[in-house]
Amino acid sequence: MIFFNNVTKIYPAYLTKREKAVLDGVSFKIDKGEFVCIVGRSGAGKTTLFKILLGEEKMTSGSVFFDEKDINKISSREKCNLRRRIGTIFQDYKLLPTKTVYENIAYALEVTGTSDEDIERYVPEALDTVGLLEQALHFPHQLSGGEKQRTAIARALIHNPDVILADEPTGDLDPYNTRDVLDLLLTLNESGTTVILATHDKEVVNSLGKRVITIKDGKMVSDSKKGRFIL
Amino acid sequence: MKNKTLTSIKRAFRLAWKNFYRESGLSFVSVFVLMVVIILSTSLFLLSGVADIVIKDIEQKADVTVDFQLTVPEERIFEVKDEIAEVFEINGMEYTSREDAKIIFIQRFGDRPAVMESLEEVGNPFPASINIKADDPYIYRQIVVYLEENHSDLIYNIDFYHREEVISSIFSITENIRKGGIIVGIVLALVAILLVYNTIKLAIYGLREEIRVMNLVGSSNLFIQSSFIIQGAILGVVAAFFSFILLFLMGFLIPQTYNITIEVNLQQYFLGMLPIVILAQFAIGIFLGVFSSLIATRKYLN
Repeated sequence: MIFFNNVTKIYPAYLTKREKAVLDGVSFKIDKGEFVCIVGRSGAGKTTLFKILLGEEKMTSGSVFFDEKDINKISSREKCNLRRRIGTIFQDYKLLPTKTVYENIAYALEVTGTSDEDIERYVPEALDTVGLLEQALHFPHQLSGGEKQRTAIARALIHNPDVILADEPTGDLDPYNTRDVLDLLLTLNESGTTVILATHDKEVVNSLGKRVITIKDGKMVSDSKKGRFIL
Repeated sequence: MKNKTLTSIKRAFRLAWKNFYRESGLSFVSVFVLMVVIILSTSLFLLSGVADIVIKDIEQKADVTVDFQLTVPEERIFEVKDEIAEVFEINGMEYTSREDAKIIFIQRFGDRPAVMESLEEVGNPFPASINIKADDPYIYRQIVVYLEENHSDLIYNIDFYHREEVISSIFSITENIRKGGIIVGIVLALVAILLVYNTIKLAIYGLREEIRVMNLVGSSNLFIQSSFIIQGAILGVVAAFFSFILLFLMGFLIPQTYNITIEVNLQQYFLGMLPIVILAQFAIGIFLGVFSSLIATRKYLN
């Protein structure tokens, strides 16, 4: 389903005048329905991997395929369609601050041209799934960290994406909320959604017992089916 | 497909409107800056119109009068008058006969018996004359030279030489006002556009993360941009509306007490220009709002 083929990303470093390879020849394949943890320290290149997959960043060399399609060669319209097949969750939630919880979730459907009737049916369902029905009309600044992250998850899953990209989703959460978020991701995975979780949290990785790809200094150092945190 | 497009347009409007009133602080600043620009440009437009009327009025007051010898018959004067009209590009010419000149004199000094007695003794000492008006001050000199070269025997006096400096000054001042007005207008327009652009750019810079999120949930660039463009247009319309109210009130408060000259009534002028002013204000507001949003959002779209 997703194939990273010898991907390298080099950022120019203006101050030191030395180029920095954030990703260096990374290759792996993720099948449909898998739960994969991408593990590495901060700055290891996890977020860059996600940005490349979402078409936000261009890779310096190599190629990335999503369902046989080369992300480097897709049109702007195809890029929109690709992003609609991927639900993204960030550590800092990235909710739209001027929209309510309901509107934040509905927005992901509005841009796809979903009818108002369907939006009115699906959004409460998603809110129910993440346990935020009562907070539907709250604005992000009125929510706790856990509630914000659950809103972000609801937004990511609202259009039934094929893949969920979760970039350090538990980074700002306490252990209780961390467990809730992981349980939600596991539930989504059980229903057939591919989940790619980027984290540097040892406890999280070890508790999941899923496939672990470890990245260190931009290079892939291990890929184990039932992996553990090894850094 | 048609339904989807309509839904997208409707949603872009709804999104723009919600952003407008929920980000009230940003909207207030943007509307205020737009209002400054709109009021400035429409005031300049109105002032240039008033200045034009005043300038034309002043220019019309510049003229040259040619007095003919007492013995020159009226027919001969008309021949010269026609000749001038044919040779030179002039605005108008008025003939005053000797009798008319006497009547004008009596009307002016009729209440002074001593003057009237003297006039009775002398008879009619007033020469027939023609008064010439032109748009270009250089034509006056050409006419004077032409008359002196071709009809010096008929002419008693031309009141050009002692008024030449005044006439030239009037035309030079009005010309400078026109040129200065254009330069000031262009400079202010550029400043205004930069001011609005930077205000809206800063407002959208604050929303760059939101634009990124919109992109990431699969929003097309067109959808994102159209909502910001509509928001820009809403800012322009609101700013134009309040600018108009403000200018309208000012228009009623000021001109009732001040008329620049007898010929220029500011209130009448303002009311006459009202439809153009409304159109101009809304056009400026919407154009600046839309244009700035268009340029500012492009940078953050991915």
